[in-house]
Amino acid sequence: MSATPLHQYIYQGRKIGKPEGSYMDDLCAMRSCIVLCWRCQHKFDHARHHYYKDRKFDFVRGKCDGCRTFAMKAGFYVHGSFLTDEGGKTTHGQTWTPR
Amino acid sequence: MELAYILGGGTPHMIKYIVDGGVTINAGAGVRFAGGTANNEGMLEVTTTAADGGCGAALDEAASTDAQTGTTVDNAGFVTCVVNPDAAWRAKLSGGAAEDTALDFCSAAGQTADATGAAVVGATDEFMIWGFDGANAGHVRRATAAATVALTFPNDIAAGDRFLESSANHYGDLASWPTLTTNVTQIAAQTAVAAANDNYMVVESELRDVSDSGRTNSFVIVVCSNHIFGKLGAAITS
Repeated sequence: MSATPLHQYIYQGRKIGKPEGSYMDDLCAMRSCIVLCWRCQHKFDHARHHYYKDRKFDFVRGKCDGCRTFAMKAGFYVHGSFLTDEGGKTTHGQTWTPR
Repeated sequence: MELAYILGGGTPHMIKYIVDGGVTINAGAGVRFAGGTANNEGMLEVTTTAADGGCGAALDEAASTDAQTGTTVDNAGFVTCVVNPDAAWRAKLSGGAAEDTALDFCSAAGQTADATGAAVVGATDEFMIWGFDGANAGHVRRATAAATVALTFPNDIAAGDRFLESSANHYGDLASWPTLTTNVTQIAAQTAVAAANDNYMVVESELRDVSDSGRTNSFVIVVCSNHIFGKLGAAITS
């Protein structure tokens, strides 16, 4: 690897000046997994975007994709097309595709 | 592969990492930081037999292109990873190099009767053998030689009984590192394994029989045994 600082290889979140909502729309369009802190979770209508909230774990750790703060008790959202758990939330009738 | 649990307990720690230029990472594919391509500039998929510098598996899919793709679209893709070195991943057993291939029976014609419970026709040495139907359905043993289990099955093997087998297990001489399927999202469970894959090691197995579609519904839970954060201080050589 080159001498580039490692943080440049880690996603920094939305760009400066980009509204949170626009950035979330981008993530949804790419079907990326989404990590949200407790402050931002209620602003994200995951069902509308065909996401489900992963409940296998109570919390995950990571940088909030909304406000970019590190959250110790964040919620984790997965696009329905990646459903791999037979008992997962299938609120939109997605087909379970085992991996 | 999908995240099953964290061995040490606690919470999954998720980070989005950049994907190497020209690389597409599929959801559920094993990923690694280095080792596959010299001087890579982002995450790579593991190969079917190597996961050095690994980081478990991808939670979503992403791709990067070297060339710019426009002012509004970032040409770099980012893949979500769980960075816990002791993250355990649930991987489906596939009977071939292609994903979702049904597992083959040890003997397609069924077994010959054996009152000792030790002779399994077609069983491969060092593979896990489990009963698909018959009196031994649901019981599992590890073959210690071709067509032989030294720790015998608890019931007599009747003519026509069928058994399944998988290379992925954690017993014996640790030579049973699994080989992954072509898209590195599942385990090619009936491919003979090399002694030094050193990629994913089995924690536990979900081996199912005829009552639960065992040929297409069996899994193992693995940890990335060559995790980049699990061997702190090791040099990245590429």
